[in-house]
Amino acid sequence: MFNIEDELRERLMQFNDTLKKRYKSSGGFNAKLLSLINNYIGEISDIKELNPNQVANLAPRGVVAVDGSINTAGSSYPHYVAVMRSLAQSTIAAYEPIYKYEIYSPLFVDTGIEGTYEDGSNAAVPAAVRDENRRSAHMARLEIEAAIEAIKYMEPSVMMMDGSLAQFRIKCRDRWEDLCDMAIKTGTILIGVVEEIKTAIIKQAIEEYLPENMRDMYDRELLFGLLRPGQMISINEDCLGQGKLGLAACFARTSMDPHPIAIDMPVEQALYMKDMAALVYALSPRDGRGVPLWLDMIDNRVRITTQMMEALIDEYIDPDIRHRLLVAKRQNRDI
Amino acid sequence: MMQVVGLTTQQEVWVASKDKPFRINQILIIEDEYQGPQRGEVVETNSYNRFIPLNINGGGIVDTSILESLKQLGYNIGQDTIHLAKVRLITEAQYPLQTGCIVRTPHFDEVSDLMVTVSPEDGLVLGVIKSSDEVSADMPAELKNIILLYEKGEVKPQNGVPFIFDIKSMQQYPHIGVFGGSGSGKSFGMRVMLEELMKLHIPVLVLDPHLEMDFSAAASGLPDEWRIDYSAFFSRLSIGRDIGVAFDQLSTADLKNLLGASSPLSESMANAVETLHKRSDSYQTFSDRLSMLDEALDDTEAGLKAKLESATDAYKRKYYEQCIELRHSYRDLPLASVRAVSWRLRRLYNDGLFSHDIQPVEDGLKQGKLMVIQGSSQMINVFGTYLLNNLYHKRRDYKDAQARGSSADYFPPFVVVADEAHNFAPKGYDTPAKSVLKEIAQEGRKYGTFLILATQRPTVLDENITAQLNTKFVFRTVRSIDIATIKEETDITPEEARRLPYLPSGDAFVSSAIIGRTVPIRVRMARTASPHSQNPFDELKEIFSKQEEQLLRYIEDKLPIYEADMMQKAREIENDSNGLYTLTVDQLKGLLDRLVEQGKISGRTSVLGYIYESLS
Repeated sequence: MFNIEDELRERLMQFNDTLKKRYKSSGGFNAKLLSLINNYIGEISDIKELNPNQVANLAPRGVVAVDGSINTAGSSYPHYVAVMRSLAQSTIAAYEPIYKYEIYSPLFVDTGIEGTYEDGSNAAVPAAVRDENRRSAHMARLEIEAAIEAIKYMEPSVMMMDGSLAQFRIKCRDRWEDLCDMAIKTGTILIGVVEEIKTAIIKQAIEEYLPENMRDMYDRELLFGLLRPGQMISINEDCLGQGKLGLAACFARTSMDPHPIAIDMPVEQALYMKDMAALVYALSPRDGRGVPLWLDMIDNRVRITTQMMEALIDEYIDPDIRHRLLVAKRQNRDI
Repeated sequence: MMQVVGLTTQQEVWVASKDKPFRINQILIIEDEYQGPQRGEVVETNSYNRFIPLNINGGGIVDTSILESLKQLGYNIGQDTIHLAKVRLITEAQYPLQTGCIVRTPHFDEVSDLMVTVSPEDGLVLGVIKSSDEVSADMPAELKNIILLYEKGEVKPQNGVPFIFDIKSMQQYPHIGVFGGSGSGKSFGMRVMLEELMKLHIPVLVLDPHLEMDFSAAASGLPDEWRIDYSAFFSRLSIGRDIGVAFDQLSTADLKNLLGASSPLSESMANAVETLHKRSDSYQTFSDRLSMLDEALDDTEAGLKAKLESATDAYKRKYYEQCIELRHSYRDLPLASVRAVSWRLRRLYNDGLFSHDIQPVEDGLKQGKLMVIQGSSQMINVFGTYLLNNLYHKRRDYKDAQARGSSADYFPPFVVVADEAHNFAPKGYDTPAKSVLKEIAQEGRKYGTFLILATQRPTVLDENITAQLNTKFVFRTVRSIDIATIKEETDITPEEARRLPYLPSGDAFVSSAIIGRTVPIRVRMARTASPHSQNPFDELKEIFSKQEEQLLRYIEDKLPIYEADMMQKAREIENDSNGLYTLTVDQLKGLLDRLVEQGKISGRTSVLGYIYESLS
């Protein structure tokens, strides 16, 4: 027992050393990196600070935030059932929130959804991974449906999606295009707020200028602590690998958190980028993660907790079916 | 909508509401499907907004500017607030209540038995039951608009179900305690109680060391139609001026009590009183005896005989003969004790105690009036004991005679009211008043004699008496030891006890065996005002400014005043004011400096020293 822990400790220390080496020399490079970014990636600017009245002027018909949640009951593929829920709610209290629900289980697949997933080589992918893709496509569709309905009924000034718009486009292209068209037609500014940046835009654009040890770093690593709170990088269209997706994007540090967030929106609305960054900045708690409070509130409201999931399954699924399909063996562990 | 949430028990449930906050002590009806509607009282309230969590370390405190921005975007922070209340059932249910069942506010008839047990004509209408305004909407007209409230300096209409104390049930559950610190509204509570007792023409004896129980002046701000002239229902009697002790009716025990009231008699003093006091002594005979004995014991027998020899007239001779005789009979009494007794006796005499009797009190009580006995705290202690003993025994003799079937003079049942009761019946040591109060506390019920005792310090009130107080009005109490006593002596809950230090003035918990539960009330506005209600500091300020105004007139005549000249000017002011303002140089200088500060005159340094001048 003791030996195992020793070994684990050693391995962790080794890992730490490796990481330290990787990030050690990046400190002094920050000023240089900033100017490189300014020159090759996009303009670095200060986000405008808005007072509450200016916020109201920016979004006179309110801000709708959309988020979704999924929770599963059961063991593993394909013996599980997932409950999905999406929510679109306007800041204007008079509007009733819009909820959308869906039940998904790999046992009964609606193959229609699968087709929309842009994944050329279906056959080569294992069934479980395909299932996962399908599931997230369902989820994206559910959120987009909520957003579309919200635009129809609430006509908001701003539609704020949780996660990047690029993801929605990839996962559920047909409905995404409906949403995008509708937003542009009605003048609803559509934005995606990305908490976890997974892109590698900087590396791709200026790899040759980066020091050796930074060449394989993702944006998240490079941008850590680089921007001051209230600064943003408006990414040039040609740097976006996803430019062909018809989206514009920026990085912005909208709180004290050293990790910036990203915002993307349809190219057609790109001229509102700075306004939207300012809106996000104004609505995000200074000591928080840099995500608008409203989005967090919606996230909280839409969440399907495990407790809730259990209660639902216990209540509505017959016990014999539940045990046959949905009870994982490990649920009955004795210790 | 209100709904039962979470874990329930047979005694308590949590109720949640999204629409409006709960109020403490509110009564709610819980519609349990299986057990029928249950009544409960809110004992704890919470409101919670899940998006503004209490998290000081985690950066969870949301900037106000964001909430303000969201508000500008149409967001209503109230929509995410959840109100929670802990509700305690009035009577225990058979099973734990069903979670999820609907909760609503009651109609008046569903809870009237918990709130109103007696009509306003037959009981003491003391105030409103807190948080009962929703219930009061459909209560009968005779309960509506029968009192006024006074809050934050404003007269307000009745806003709930009236709290009416059923005085008749004192027969089963006698005696009332009123607890509360200074400024808690205790005195106003007492005043309201006394007004109501007068309304019912109940004979009341009030021991009033604070000289505040006067019901002649209407409360300021009271609308005319609410005024009641109480002048026919009460009398104020001042000890020594209006009432006193008929010395020749005093028993030796009474006399000892009287003499021992200010501070206990020593054993030899008590012995001296016992030996020297004769039945049907008048004050004169008794005090003569004492002073003669004083002189006799101070002298030798030979000395007295010599004085007797040399006495010229018969009167003197007789005097010394008596002295010698007294010396013979009471040789063993220590002179110091005789002197002490004599001194104490004279003091009572000088207070006027022996020039009157208690007949006015008896007469007043027989007419169903409220008799206020006023005097210094010490005099009240001295006299009150005697008076109470006397009256209580009159009532007792009458009832006992009635029970035996023999006849005795009628004496009515009555209520004794004492503020600062811990002075009369303290815990731990004996006072003359304590034994009679204890007797009334324990047996008074049989004879229709009831106590209303008020104190700031329930802890130092004799515990045997506290135990007999079946109803307690608890006002704001800050001292933790008193709160502990109150918790022990009443059925108020821990939640209520926690609220005691924060009760607004005029709010009280009524814990009563009569009602069977603790009722939170707000005492109604008194119709009359205490003669002391002017703030003493305002009074000082008024007097000072008046004086200064007058002085200023004299001073203005004398300006300019040079520093070197002050003695002369002070003398002139004294002359001008006919000696009303006698000032030393320092006082005059102080005063002038103050006037300069107030900008009423000016002052400057000149070649001749400092000079005070008029402004013009």
